[in-house]
Amino acid sequence: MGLWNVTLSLWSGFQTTLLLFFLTLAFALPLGLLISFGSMSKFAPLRYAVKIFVWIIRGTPLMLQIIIIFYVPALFFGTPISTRFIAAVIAFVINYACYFSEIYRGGIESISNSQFEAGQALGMTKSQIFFRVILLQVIKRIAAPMSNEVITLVKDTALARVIAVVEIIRVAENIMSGGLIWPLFYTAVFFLLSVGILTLMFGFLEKKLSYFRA
Amino acid sequence: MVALNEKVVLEVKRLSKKFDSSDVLKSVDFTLEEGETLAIIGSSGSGKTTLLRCLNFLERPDAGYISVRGNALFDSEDHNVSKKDIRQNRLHFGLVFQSFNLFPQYTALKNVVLAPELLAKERKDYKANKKSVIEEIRNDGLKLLEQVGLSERRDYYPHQLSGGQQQRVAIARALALKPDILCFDEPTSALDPELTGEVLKVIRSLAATKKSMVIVTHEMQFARDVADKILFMDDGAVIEYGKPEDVFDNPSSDRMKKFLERYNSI
Amino acid sequence: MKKVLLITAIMVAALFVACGKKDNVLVVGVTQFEPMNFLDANGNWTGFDTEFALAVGERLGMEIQFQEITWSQKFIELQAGTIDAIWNGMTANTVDSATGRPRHEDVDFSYSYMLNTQCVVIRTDRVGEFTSAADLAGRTAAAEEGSAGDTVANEVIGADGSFIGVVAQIDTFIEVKSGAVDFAVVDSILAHQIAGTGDFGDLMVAELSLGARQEVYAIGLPIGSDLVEQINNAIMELYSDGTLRRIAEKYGLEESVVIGTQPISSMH
Repeated sequence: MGLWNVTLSLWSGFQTTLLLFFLTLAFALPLGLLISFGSMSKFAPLRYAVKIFVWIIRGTPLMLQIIIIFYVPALFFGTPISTRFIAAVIAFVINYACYFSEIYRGGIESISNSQFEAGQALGMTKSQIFFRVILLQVIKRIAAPMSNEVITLVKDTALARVIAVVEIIRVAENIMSGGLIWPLFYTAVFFLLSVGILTLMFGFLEKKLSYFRA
Repeated sequence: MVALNEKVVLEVKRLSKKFDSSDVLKSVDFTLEEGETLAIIGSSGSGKTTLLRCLNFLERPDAGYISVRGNALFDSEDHNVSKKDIRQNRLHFGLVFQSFNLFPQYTALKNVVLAPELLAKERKDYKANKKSVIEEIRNDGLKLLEQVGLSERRDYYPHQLSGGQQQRVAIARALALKPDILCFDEPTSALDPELTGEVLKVIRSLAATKKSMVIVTHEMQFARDVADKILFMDDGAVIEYGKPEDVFDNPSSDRMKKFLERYNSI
Repeated sequence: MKKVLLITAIMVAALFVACGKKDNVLVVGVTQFEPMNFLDANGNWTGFDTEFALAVGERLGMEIQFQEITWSQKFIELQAGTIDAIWNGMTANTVDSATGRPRHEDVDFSYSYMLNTQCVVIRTDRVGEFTSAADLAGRTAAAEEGSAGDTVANEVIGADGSFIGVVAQIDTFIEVKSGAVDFAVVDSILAHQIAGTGDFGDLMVAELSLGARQEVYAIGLPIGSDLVEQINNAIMELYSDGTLRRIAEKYGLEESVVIGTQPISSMH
């Protein structure tokens, strides 16, 4: 197997990696916002329930969560999740939503209460205040910690192979069964390129938001 | 309930508020007539800011009655009134904060037009006339910026403006919703002394146009010049309430006398 | 706000749409294990067990689907119903090191269809260090976690040795090549295929007698499965009509194919 064929094989696995990455972001970014609202709720039972949930998810290994989400429905309820890939997506979404929610919460709580009050005094609704006044300020403040999490996510996708999701590392391991070791190390190039692009994108976002001070 | 005096724009009765167990407002009464300027003075912690925040429904009073033009907005003895939409109530008042609280991500003009634009979206005819409505709001906003002397700064972001300019934008923003009563919470306290003049000048010009206003202030000379009525508060209660010359020159209470002595000695 | 709620709810709901399992499909759990199951240049499954399974599926009128799994989780997969059979050169007459029990207690086995032994893989330049089985004691050994090699490796290194369990048999070759371990214990069928080829050209199968008894491969099915009898019948037919031999010849395994009908539990 030459460089070109190995690259093609790894690329097929990396498509799975990327799909897992983008689906996780697409679902976890809004879900994290909901969870952060829950953890800031004035209704104490909801707040505590959400905080306990976040504690459980952040307090256990993602790899374990992937295994539990894939096997437990089948073992105890007889309803297997349709595919391994979907099970991995669910585990990643829940896990990352919890981490995102804490970043959101920190960001929202760091915005001065006077911004909320200024909106209120102008007769704006709660959601208008959030989406038109607070959100952009929050995004500006959390851009750096979010870029950290998102970059970590790219690499965490490799954990999905624990339930035999054939992502890039798994593909490389399979190539190794044919007697080639270097493709495993070569996978690093794919990750480095992705993280490089993400780093540029976050840098662009931060620059975009530098027109105001908050 | 019909107001006895048709000229009364704001009526406040027995307004009380507790924080934990301390009385911050003790049965406050006053009225404001159309076009009048009321200055609320008193030392820090006397409850004047809380009074203003209650008027703007940023705090909920524990008891009392608030009406605007005879229309009850809050009545602790009438459940139907208490259920009223706080948001609608707030629209009767404009509020200028001590620390401006402009929205940092918007230009001066956008700060002024944001709330009117959002409010316009609730109008039934908004979709049909979207363009003309937005255009009208923008023109109003430009006029307001002109009124506070900041036409050329309309595209500046808050951090590019001085404190005095920011506060003038905040005044334009508060006026944009055409409130019945414009409230100021110590509008010059966060400013360097050399910047207070430009803000006071704007407020003076508003008083000259007979805008009904309630101003919490530490600027005694300004209060005396611009206000039609003075309300002196101490320890949550109204101690003096009357025309500036009466309150300042012939105070009836010892507390007002002491307050003025302390103020004059600074 | 309401929009965010709604969109999130829809997306979460979409995630949980589970498809029902199709009838007449046999999902076969496999790992990459040359020459039993491996991917050809086009990414299609091939190998002895692959073709064997497809032939049995044809006899039974069932569609065969191959599902890659992690070997140490094979029994969980079977129990969970995420696979229907373990058919991947699985040694039947051994204690599973993951469960600590003989494997026939966790699955029902078909007839055994292949003979195997465990063998030792070393680096060619260190062949002088390993002249007898006694040289293995006290060394560091690698084997696939939960495999038959795992059990044997732990026996031969003794109490003074240390054991490295890895995720896949192929990983043991890297362990040996890099010098992280002294030797690996793997299925001889795999070892002869891999050692000495490609990047593993500097590895070899040591000619040591481990004294390990003859191992047999069989297909693992859920306990009480009525498929056992059907599959056994199909195996006998494929053996009788020469199909099985033809497949074995393609992979150089014709000498290893031996059908055993005695119960696995009697082989311990």
